[in-house]
Amino acid sequence: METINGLIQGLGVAIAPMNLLFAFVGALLGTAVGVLPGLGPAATISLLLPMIYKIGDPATAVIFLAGIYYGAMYGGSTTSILLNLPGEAASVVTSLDGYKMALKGRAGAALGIAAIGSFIAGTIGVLGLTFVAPPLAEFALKFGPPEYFSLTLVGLLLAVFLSGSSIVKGMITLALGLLFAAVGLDPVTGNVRFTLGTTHLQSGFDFVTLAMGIFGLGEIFYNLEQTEAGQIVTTKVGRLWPTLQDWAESKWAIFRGSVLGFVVGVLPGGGAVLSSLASYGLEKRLSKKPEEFGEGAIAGVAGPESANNAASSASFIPLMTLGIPANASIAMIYAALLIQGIQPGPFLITEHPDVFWGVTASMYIGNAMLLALNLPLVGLWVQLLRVPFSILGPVVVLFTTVGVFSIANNVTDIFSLLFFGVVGYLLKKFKFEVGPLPMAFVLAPMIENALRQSLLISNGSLSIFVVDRPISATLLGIFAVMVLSQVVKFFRNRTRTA
Amino acid sequence: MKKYERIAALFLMILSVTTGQYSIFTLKLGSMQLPAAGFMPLLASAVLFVASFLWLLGALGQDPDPRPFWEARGWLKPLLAAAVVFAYAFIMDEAGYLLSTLVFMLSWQFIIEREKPVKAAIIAVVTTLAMWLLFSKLLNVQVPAGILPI
Repeated sequence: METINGLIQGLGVAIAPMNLLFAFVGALLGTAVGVLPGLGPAATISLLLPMIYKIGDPATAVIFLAGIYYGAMYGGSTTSILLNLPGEAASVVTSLDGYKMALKGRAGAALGIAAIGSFIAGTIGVLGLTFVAPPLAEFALKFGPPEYFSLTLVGLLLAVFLSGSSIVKGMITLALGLLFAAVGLDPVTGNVRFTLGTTHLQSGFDFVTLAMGIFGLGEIFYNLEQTEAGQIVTTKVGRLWPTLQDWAESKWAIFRGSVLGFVVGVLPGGGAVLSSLASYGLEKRLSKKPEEFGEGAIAGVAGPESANNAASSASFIPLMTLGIPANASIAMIYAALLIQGIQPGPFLITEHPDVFWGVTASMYIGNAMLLALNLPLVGLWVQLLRVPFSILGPVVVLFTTVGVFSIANNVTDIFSLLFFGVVGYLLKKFKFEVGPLPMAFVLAPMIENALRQSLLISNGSLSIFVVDRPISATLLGIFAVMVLSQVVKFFRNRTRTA
Repeated sequence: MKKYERIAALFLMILSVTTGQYSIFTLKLGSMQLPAAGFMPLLASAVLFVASFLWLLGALGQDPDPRPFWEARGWLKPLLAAAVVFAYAFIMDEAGYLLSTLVFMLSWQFIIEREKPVKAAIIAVVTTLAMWLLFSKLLNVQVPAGILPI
């Protein structure tokens, strides 16, 4: 009953004209971002973070950013299907069958099933968020510093393991994130750390600067290297509404994709990319005609597109209940909440019900908006690709520089931005998955405080993480199993290659 | 590729040793009961060292990927872009937002995109004005006025 009351309260927040407007603009912007290759939702959210300072209401701010995030998941499918050009990493598998369908003159059916599947999955994901988040938040109220330390540790490790890059590289980005976060004043003793003698660094690196540098500027530097120009292919879209046979072939794929996406999305590091890949694999395995996958199977579009949308909704659960961002985009939303003076975590639902329920309710509305936006505006989205990079690139750079400057009206911050831009470029160049870096950066104060408080409570005894602490002990058990499994895998691979 | 990976891994190992040393000797580790400012950075440095060392080990031996790390002087455009952004930040306070942005856009179009002068000038002027209107007038961002009386 409490959930229903909360949802009704949230609907009141979500249908406020300003919130409806921001949800719409967010969804629109997100779709555009999803369409454009090379500029992901994390980059866009980072570019818009300085605006969050100007939005007075925290619920409005998160509704806006959430719209960008799930809008990008919708938009990514359009160019994957029509141009074989995934705008989003999560839509890479969609292009395998979606583009083949387009070549056979069935682009409309592929776009239609992608949009409908996304809508159904997004709604299922939000339903899950509605009913799973409150009990999980209540459970998290039992957490003390040892539990938070163990949880953050497992969350970060999961993010590294599931990020898709090599685990070694993931550990490097994680350690870099922790070290960048250490710059500035020590939260306990007030000692200055790694400031290189400058007063500018005493307040530490700003998350917005780091995110805009790594995702915005770094992405532009990297894209400058790509010499191939995107070609607009004229493909006949055809009928958008799927036929009965299309629906029969897709309905279970949509359902399975939704459930799988939801489960994977809750895990830190899981997110949309992994869920769409897992869904594609599952559908191919369960199909009676697996040979059709890669040749234009509609289930190969329906499953992954549903999965990535369910995952994007589900990834709000660990943020809203445990205060753990599940991926880089959610880490930006975590930062946006902090900017608004709200600490994400188990108290969010009780202390800021308008934010939690308002955002949740706006997702229902946002999903419906996206369905209406995506299908009729397909032509417009494709035209977006005509904007040349020679204009888009410097405009993004201007957004990042002015955005960073506007935080403290300080030009020195632009030099920090440039530093992170170079770091982001090099990480991409060496094929690092950069997601764990911002996650480690935002979680570093929590993990450090939790560790130091735990040791202070226990007089320096590490047993506080295990003895009489079943939740922490279980989490550390999971941590140990994860590490051991990787060690065993490493030695097995070595023996096999020897 | 592997050659550059070895260089990068070595750089990260040196960085981790430096930060670790700074954590131990300058920040101090404190005790188990009361960890000091260097405790967490040391743990992060240790993770960085071990991971970079494993990366270095993986990058030893023959390179299976024959493609060069940077194809056809691919490093040049990112380097020029970084230099243009650096110069932009350097002159922004003195020259002001409008003038520095115009110089930035012109430099980007000429140096990086190699556009023809007229096209570059049109793109630069239109983009600069659009950005100035957006940030300064619409979003009320307090951009530096500089030498122009705007």
